[in-house]
Amino acid sequence: MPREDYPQELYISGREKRHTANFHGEESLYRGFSQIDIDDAGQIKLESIRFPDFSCNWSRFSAPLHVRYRQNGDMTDGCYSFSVETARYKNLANVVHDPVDDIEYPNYAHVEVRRLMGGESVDFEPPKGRKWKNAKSLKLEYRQNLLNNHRIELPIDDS
Amino acid sequence: MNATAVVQLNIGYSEPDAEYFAYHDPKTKFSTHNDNEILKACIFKVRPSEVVEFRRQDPIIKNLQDRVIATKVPARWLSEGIESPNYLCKEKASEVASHLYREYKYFPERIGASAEGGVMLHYVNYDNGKTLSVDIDNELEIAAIVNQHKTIIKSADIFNMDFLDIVRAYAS
Repeated sequence: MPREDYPQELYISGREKRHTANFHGEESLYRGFSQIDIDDAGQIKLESIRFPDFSCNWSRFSAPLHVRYRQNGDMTDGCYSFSVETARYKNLANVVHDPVDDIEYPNYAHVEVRRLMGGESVDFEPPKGRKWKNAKSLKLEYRQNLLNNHRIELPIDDS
Repeated sequence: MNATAVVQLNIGYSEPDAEYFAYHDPKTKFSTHNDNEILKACIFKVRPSEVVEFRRQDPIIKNLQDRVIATKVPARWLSEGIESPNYLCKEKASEVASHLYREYKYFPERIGASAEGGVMLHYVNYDNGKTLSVDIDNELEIAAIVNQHKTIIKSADIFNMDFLDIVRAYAS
């Protein structure tokens, strides 16, 4: 069972999975971070950014604080966001709604950023686990672009 | 049993002298060499069953190599399935860091494990506000990117340690 203060918004409650075409470019994706993800100046480190196949919460169905309620999450975690448009940088990736039907950590807002192949449109839902076969510099560019366009929504709670 | 030991000497220390050799009863002094990473080395046999290699190494190169070797993935990342940098990756990253220091006097601001499996070297140019990040992954492929004020200036795949174009973008 989820903890007592588990956010109601994250329960699936019989709601259907949304198709990728439902995402709007200006919507936000929330991702949790902790001390190990930031440098001495408190900035998110490039090396902490994952791509492809990384998890976020969709802003339409959740708030930044909700990133703390995830497996491996911590009640002191911070949250940063980036737009769906940023996630689709150079059509290298797309966002897929992937609700988590878990007893302890149900999460209707869960989305995955997955790799898009050449010729596939942003209406296509790529499968998980695709290998990266393009130039490695393009992958690094994707990660840097995400870092360049992120916004801190919630700082780490170090009180 | 043949035991091999490597003893690092700091720059400024003299090579083992005759007295040292006499004390340790060396049987053969069989090799001396220089290479790119070791400024001077002296390998000699101390006893028939024991080989000791003395190396004198640039302390900055040694510092870079030690920092790369010490790189590890935080426990929380490991629990999320993130791969640790493998040994060959650390060797390659060490080679890259040494190369950028020797050729351009670049010293990394940060050396860390990458969430994509590998090692990332991070440099800052305080003259122009640019950053240079070099990613060495566990497949030993190298990519580099120059960024300035939230704008990507240049990215490139690196082959044969040819950083010239990326260094031009970083330095200009």
